[in-house]
Amino acid sequence: MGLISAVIEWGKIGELLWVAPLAGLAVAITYSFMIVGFARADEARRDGDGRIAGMAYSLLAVVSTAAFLAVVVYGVVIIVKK
Amino acid sequence: MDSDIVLYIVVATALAFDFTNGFHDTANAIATSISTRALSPRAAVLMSAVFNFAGAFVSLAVAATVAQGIVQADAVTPTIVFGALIGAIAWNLATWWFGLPSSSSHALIGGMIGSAFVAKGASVIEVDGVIEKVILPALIAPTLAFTVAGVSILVAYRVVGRQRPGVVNRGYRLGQLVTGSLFSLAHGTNDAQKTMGIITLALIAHGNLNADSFDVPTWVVVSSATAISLGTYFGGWRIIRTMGSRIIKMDPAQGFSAQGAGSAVVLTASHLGFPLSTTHVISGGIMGAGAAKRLSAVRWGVAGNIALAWALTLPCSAVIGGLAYGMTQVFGDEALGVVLVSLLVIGLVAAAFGTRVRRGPAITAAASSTPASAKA
Repeated sequence: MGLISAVIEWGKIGELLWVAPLAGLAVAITYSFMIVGFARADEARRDGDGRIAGMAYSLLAVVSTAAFLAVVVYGVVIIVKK
Repeated sequence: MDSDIVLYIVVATALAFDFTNGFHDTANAIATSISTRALSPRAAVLMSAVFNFAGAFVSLAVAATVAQGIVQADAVTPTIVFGALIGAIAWNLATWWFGLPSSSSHALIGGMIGSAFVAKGASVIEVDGVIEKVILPALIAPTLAFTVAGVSILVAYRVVGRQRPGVVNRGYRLGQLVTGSLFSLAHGTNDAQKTMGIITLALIAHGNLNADSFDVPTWVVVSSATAISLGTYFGGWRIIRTMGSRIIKMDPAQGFSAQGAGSAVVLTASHLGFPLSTTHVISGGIMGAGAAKRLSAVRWGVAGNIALAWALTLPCSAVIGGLAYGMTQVFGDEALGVVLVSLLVIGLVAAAFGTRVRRGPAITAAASSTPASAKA
């Protein structure tokens, strides 16, 4: 048991257990908000609803897209730097 | 002359392993994309093949770590490597035959353990390394991906819950192009380099390269990248079918969550220097995305078969690797033994594939894209 404990890098595992869920959630949240932003902005434009709502949803779409792309680019950087 | 023949055969066997690695692991990156119709089967394998090819050129850091910490480096000979490769290829083909996703890396490690054990005894096996590089990651990868994908799909459903399904499905299908490409790139970077490392080790053991600097020759990089991408393009359709539709019947949001969570787990682990099997991660992700929606949505019988295949990967590939090495020694002369074992394996594989092809197009893209009603 002692041997196994000595081999395992608990620090890395601990970090993995909180960073990976955070990264996974970042992907899901940013992309889902991107879909909502584009869908709602499009609806607001078509239905002629308030310009402010349309602009707010467009802003949500742009910010979410930027955040999602940033996560993806960071992923590519990790792959390249390995 | 004898050692030259062994080296040529080891290089050819390593490239054959690389092909089966690509072929076997195609499903990891694209099964969910095909299942949710984000991509057609042929477009999906083409995309994955291109990113696997590109990934092989990105970095050579993994190549130097092959078999490190598993068996003592100075004990490895080209014939031991040959036995290891035969063990890994045999296990990859056996699990493909039954449509079960399993880790090619663990199969290679198992083959190496078995082959080295028969050649040099138990003292050259580094048990600590096996625990750290095989057993622990095999427990963490699917559990973590299961949890992350499960939470991700719940969050995704919550965020997009009030939107029209058509828009949502189109959106997530588009997102799968990105996550699938990322997964393929990560796979190419990791797995093509295992073969590069194996060939380079054989070249060093043969005296063609300097042992002090682990420089991978360009022809090794190009041939390994080509073999894995060709294998990927060929497509392991049986495993794609298992991962894409037999574990859960998934919608585009679930496919995206499984792939997104899988990419996040694989890349985070890679960043921390704790590499995980892409097969274990994506399988766990698919099960998590299904179970979070409804526990009964997961076909637990299929999941159990997959878990059993994972548990058997190391011992079975070790036994085959050990047997292959042992058979090469029966004839005394190393080159003759290696040649005869190669011919035997080629014959067995040809017979198995020949039988399969005669039975129908179950190993082709056409079979995967044929509607179930048409097959019935």
